[in-house]
Amino acid sequence: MKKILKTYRTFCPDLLTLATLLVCPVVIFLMNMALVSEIGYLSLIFASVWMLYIDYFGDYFAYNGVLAKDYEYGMLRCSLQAKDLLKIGAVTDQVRRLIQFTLSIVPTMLLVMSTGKENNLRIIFMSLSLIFGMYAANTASLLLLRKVITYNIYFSLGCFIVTVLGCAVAFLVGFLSYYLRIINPAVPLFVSLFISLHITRFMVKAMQNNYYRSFKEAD
Amino acid sequence: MKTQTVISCKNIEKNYKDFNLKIESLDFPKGFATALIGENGAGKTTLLNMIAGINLDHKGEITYFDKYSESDRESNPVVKNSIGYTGTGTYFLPHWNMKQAKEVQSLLFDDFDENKYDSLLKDLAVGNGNVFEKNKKISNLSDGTRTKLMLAGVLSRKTNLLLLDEPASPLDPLMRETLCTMIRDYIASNEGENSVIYSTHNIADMENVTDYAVIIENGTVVEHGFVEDLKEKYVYVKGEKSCEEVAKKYLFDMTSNSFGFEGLCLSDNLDKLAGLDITTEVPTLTQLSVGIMRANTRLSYSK
Amino acid sequence: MKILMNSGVPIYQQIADNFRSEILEGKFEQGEYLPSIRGLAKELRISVITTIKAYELLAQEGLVTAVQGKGYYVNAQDGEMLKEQHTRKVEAALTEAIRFARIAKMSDKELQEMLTTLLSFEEE
Repeated sequence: MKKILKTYRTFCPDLLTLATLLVCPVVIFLMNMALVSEIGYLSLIFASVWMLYIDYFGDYFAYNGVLAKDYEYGMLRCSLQAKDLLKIGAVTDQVRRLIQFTLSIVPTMLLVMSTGKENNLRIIFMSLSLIFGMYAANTASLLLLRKVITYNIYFSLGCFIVTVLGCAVAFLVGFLSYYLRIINPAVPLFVSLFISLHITRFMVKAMQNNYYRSFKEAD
Repeated sequence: MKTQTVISCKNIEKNYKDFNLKIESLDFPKGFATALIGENGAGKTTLLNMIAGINLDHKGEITYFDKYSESDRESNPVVKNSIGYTGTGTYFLPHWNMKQAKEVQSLLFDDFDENKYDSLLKDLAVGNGNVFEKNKKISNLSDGTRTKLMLAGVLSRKTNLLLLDEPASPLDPLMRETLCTMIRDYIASNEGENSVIYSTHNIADMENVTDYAVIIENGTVVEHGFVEDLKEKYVYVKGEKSCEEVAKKYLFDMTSNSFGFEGLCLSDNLDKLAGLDITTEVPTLTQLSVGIMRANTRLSYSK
Repeated sequence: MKILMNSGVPIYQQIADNFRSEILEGKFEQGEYLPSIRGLAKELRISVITTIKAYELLAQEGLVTAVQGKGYYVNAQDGEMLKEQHTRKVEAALTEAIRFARIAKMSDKELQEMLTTLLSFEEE
């Protein structure tokens, strides 16, 4: 366990962990306390989209470039332990990501439920769908953004991708399912769970594959 | 003199767009410091990367410590754990800070001694002990400091082979002396079980620590041997202008001016220069290397 | 031991000469090992191969014997070799003295008288 924590903290700066798991959820909760009476369940969308932006922003300081075609992995190629370390790093990073979405959405969900204006069961379904849906959208965006090393391209392209994916999730979950009630709320939940599982596996695999690729030279 | 082999290369081949690395057979002696000498792009870094196991894209076989094959190296951690590699490209991930660099090394290598690492950095005058130093980004450090970090890292582990790619290039003259001392100390410890292989352009700076030289030109090994043997095999000739035409046939890399000429020559060919107005001296490693590096081209030319 | 890096005399030669003198002067016991090749290289700040070459030279002259994995130990020096070396030294010194005598325009007789006087001082 100690090794797992140490590996996580080596790849991900403590400041980033603190920001995503503590500071931002708290800030979001405080903001929603003020907003929930005005915007109701939309504060859930607000919370999840916020976290989406914060995470892609923060990842620049943790795993930026790990999926780039010519990423060298330097010293990590000098030890057979590296492939295990990378796997642990990737998995713990994803776990933290899931936790951060949970921490930002659940308090807001309780806030919305406490207003009494909405159907609590449907709010819970929507919240869970948002947690996994946004998590999946975030991971998907990182699959592309972790290939980008240039500062400018990362932030501008990232902004675009995150917005598109965030809106897509918000549209499906919030609008079509919750508001218009066209789609049964169980559907987004299971779809997002399914995608989350597979995209997590995909991300971890991608990082390991890039590591193996670094042993071969691009001619 | 009987020597054991630490690294043995057989039928190494790697094809690039503009040149090919081809080494039929090359053995590095155990317990000594070997210098890989050659021009930029001659193939030194590629060879070192292959030996370090960082580049798997090649044909041929490398044998480690006379018993492990390359596939052993990929499955048995003992091989890579016994090797300390420092490189020229991205070694530390760019956004890491000094603290992360140290943590990664302790995670990657079980025998990494953190205290030794700290004290080595202190001896090498890296940082001033300030607590905020830990957060200094690697990419903000100078090349020389980064090299010191890499060296401190490999010397804080229990290894039997150091593979150093251009370790002297980013260092100032004083630090180069320290590097030579570090290499000598490393070889002197562990009763002849430790070896060092390094590539260098700064031949003169490393001459006093080099035991064995491998000279690579255009992807092939053009000469190799113990430095003392090479200094007997070749002789540096200086002569008067009048003898230049005769001497030209037997000298590699001849330079001439209005006063005379000088160049490297095989000791065996000295009798062919008998009677000429020449002086001979034992060549320095630099003279040997420069002369031999151009030898290939010259010989095929004059023939 | 002082090693001159740029004197024109190869370093291994200087090392060999130094140890040869010490061995013939009896500074080493029979069977005593010379400093390890790597330790010596470290001390003198030279390459290991240079120290090996120096020791191999002494081994060829029969002054030391190499033992795989242990180093080089000093052979028994018989009195004959010691005597021969010192006799050669005397000859060299005397030749030098004669040269100076010639420069100073001393006669053979004056030179011999000087030698006798010096020898008598020794006895006192």
